[in-house]
Amino acid sequence: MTLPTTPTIRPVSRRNFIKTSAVLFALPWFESIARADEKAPPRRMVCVCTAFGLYGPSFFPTKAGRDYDASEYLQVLGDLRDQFTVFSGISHPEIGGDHASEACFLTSAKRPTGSNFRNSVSMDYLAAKHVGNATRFPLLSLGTDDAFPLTHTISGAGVQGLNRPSDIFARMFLAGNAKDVDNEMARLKRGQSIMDRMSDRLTALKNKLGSNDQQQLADYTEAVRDMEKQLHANEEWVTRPKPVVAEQAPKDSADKSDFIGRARLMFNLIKLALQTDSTRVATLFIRGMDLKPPIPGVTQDHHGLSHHGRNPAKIEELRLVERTEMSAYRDFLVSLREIKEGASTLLDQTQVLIGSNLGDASGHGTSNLPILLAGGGFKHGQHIAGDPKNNTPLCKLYVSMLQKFGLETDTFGSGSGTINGLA
Amino acid sequence: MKLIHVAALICGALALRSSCGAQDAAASFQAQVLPLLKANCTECHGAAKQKAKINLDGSRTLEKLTADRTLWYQVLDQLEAGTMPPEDAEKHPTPVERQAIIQWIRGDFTDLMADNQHKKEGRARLRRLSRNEYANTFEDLFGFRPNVDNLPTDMRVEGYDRISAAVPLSADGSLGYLTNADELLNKWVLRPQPKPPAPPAGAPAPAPTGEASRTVHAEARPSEQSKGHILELPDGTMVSFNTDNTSGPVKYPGSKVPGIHKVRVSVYGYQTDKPLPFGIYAGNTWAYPQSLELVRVLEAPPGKAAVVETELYLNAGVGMRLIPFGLGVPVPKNNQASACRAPGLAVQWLEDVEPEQPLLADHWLTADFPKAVSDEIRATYGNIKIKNSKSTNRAAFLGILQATLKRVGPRLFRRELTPDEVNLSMTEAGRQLDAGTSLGPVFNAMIVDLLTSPDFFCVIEQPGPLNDFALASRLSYFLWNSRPDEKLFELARAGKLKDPKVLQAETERMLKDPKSSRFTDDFASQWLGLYAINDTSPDGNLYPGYGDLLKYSSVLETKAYFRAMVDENLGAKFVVESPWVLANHELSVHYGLPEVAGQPLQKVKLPDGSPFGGLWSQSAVMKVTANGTNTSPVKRGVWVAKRLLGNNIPPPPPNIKPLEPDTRGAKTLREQLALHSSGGSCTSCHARFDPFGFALESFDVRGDFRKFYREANAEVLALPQHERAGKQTWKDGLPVDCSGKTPDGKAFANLFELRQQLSANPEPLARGLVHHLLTYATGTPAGPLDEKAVDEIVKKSAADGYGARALINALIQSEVFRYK
Repeated sequence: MTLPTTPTIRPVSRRNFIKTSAVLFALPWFESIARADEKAPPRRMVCVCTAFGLYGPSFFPTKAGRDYDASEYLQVLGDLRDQFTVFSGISHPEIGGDHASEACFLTSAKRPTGSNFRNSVSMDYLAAKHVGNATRFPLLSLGTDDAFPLTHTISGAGVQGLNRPSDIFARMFLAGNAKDVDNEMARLKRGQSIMDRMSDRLTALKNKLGSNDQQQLADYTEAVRDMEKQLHANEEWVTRPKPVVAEQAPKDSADKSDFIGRARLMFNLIKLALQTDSTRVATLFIRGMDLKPPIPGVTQDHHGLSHHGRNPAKIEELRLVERTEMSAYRDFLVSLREIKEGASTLLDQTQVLIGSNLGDASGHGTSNLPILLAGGGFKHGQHIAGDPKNNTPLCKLYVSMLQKFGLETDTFGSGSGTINGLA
Repeated sequence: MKLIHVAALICGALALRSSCGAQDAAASFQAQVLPLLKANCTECHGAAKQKAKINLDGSRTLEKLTADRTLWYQVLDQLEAGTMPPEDAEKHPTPVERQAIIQWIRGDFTDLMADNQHKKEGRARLRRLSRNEYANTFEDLFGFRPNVDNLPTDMRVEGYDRISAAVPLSADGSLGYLTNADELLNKWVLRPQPKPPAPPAGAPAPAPTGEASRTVHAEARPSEQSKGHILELPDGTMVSFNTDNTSGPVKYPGSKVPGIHKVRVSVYGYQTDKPLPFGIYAGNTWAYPQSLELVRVLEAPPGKAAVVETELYLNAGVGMRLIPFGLGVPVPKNNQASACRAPGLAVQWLEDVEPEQPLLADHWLTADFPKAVSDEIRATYGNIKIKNSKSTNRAAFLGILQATLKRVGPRLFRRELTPDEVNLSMTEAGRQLDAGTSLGPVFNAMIVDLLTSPDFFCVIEQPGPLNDFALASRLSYFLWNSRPDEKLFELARAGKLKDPKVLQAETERMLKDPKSSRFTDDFASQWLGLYAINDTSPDGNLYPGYGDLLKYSSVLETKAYFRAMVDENLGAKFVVESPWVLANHELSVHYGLPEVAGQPLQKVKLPDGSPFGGLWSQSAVMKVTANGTNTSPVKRGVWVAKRLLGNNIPPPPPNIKPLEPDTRGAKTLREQLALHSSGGSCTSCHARFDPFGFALESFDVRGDFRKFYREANAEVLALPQHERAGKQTWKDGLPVDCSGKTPDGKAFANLFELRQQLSANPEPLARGLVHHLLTYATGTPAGPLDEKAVDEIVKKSAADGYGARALINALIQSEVFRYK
């Protein structure tokens, strides 16, 4: 699963590239691959987590239902109102664990700091598994820095997010020369044979072990077999020309503190990836750890501001940071809405989950998370309010999302059944 | 203290155990526990009403008891915390009845569970090596540290990265092992260069010695980004005035060869009469993501250039930057540095004496090749087929491969290979030769196959007592964070390692080896959470002047202090108390001591009545247990209870609103806390840890001693930036109240009294340390089933005042260490 680990491929000149690639792939998915009457455009999913919550009083609307009053942050989203649903009183049960809860945002595994903790599979991974090899990249898991990952495999192993925009762009859109392709092919073959050997060794090993260890190895063996298939499928992708996009490769931002700028670069890549059907599942973890972001009026780092301790001056700055963040979300959603796919838009085909693993970040609270879901063909335009004292399990929303994505499942993580009021 | 209490109980339970064994857990449940549950609990947790889906009613078979393991430890948590039955319940067990249930869970029930665990699964689970362990293992075998970014991600369980659940296997990541193995073989092994003399058979060669192969001399020059804020003197010397590592001044592009480099710099402090500390930052100095890590702190003498020298491990491609400390940013971008009258770091040149190429891998992997064969493969870059070879033939070449496999394989798998494994590898090699694959790739494939096998990158143990090889690995991953060396491996081969005397001698030998600093550094980091040192920044207005140098020094201090505890067998009380601290210049200022000169740490005696001394109040520790703005007695209290005393603190019940720190100054967090947890189960549980946190409120977010909380000085902060100079941006707020009552009911007025209580009876601290050493050493969180083992280890070292080294020795001798 996840990114076929294409080695960094040397960019080739644009002229060379066009010579060798079919113009067909220059077009977005809809026009290029399918005829309007042939099949519906594919469903996509994007999950975004911001690490330090979103200041509650500025995020949550007070009134539930369709005629809710847009809060300060939701006002930033402007005329997208009918394209998203905002949630309150929702969280994963029994998480805790401060920032360690990041790892559980998409998995819902309980108590990440407890001694019995073992993480479980994340929603985006299941969605990607469902897509399989229909796209070049089953999953794009991205981050604005090298934080712990959001994406987790079936065995609960973290999938490190990619964080270099230029590299991601090259993997998606820059063709390698013939030698690169050969090398990559050889590497895939080697990968397959190593995986094959590994399966043999695992089988030999299994009988010597206790049953807990056997189970762990069985899961791993399955993952290794999947990987073998994946590498096989990748061979096909290596020989297929990559899509051409009008945009130039992005310049990586050297400014670590500009995490929102970095997120914008990633959002643009996600848009391109979805548009060209290079992937159908993307995840982005936004975190600006310890540096003051370059936003006028902000004098402290985002993490420090999130621990505002009700200090009004800090809250003021925090809201500045988060309004800037909200505008990045807005621009991303609008960019999806501007792309037409037949009768609908890319946003209609793409569920975009935006939220945080922390609710009241000042005290590291993991309940009452700020969550919104945009696009994806749901009937939006409302505030679904849960009980702030007895939260709705967030996984109910995940079940709804997975079902919409085409998975036949009634449960995910700590949730069973879909969320009420979302159709 | 609660723990003594528990210890007493366990002694009681031991007496009980001798009369009725584990087999009787069901009977003793029926006779002693069930009636109490029926009388006090089953009204809410019974067959009819199952609150929280818990039913405590009914007799139970051994199987049923075993299956409900979690349930009974939940019950134990609740009883010990005093949170169940709830305060408003009609019936409450008497203290004696409460103890009877606790005693059964800790006694008969735990015996039953421990027995089952021993027989069936063992404590430990199969686990992958953490990235750190893998890199150390690789370095010790091949002479350089591999890239670990492409490996599966390490997480943390209980703060440790070596717990099975924290290092799950991942097929994606396994391709990283392949990449690293390929890189090793393609870049460093059987390359066309003369092969140096063969190392002793079997063993990896000693690290390359002798004169280095290349000295790179780099004149100081400004980077693109730094033009305009670096001053260029007429003689070419570059002066940087900024403590700013994002646009940093003088840099060195990158080393070619991984290994220990000798780095010399010609530097002096400009416009200053004091030595100027500066840092060598290593990392990617050119491109994004620019990641620099402070790797060494040195001092430039004032006024006159001198050559300063140090040794550093640098990977290939890693560059360096020299950045002065504590200067602020007097020359912002685009300003003229020539106008600056502040001190600066003057750099003339940097010289990097590179190590020999890492031939260790080549030496070792190709030791079985006759010279002619080796020469031929090298000369042809491996591209020679067996039918064209002038130096060897099919049978002879397979013979070389087999000799290599039998020598190298056991050292990679840390055990003997089975005949099947040898046959499989040889069959595969033969098949490849017959298919016309060239000799280089055939050899590489065999080694790659070993390096991508779970036997190499996992710790694999079988239930029951560890065999000699598994014991050697457990010992070496504990004390060296790496593979067993030749001596250990030979002892394992000879079946001698299990001998307690040999085990003890080996423990001592290993602790004396420099590699043991990997253990002391890494354990201190994970036990105390030092890895999080960069996660927060002290608020610049409240705590001005906290900088990289203090941060860096403080981490070194805490690691060195733990090292001293091990080396000098210092008692467990040194966790909270010590007559001296380890300080360099920066730390001596921090601790308010007479100023120490220079960067190396030295022992400095503390004055009487100092609040400092001991691990728990060290700057790094106080920083990682706080956020950048404020401290929380809850967080630090839980931290003391869990990390220092090894107590199990259950998580707060769901749906508790988090305590929101309020720094506006109306109430201290402690006062808010009193409201927050007033009454009922909150109070009784918080009483188990908050008091420790109250005492530690004496230290702010950087570990400075305080009597008042700080708050922002609004008047000064209202001024424009340029008018604030010289004015204090903070002021004293509410007083700190650090009094409390320990969980066993002893009142203390302040930090000093609590410290006195803890150090007078260090046994609970020893238990805490053993709890964490056991977790680290076995890669398995110490839990309720390990209480007895922990007790025995602690008891054995009582005579030593629970010295850290004695505890480590007793742990290694214990059954819990020697069993899976």
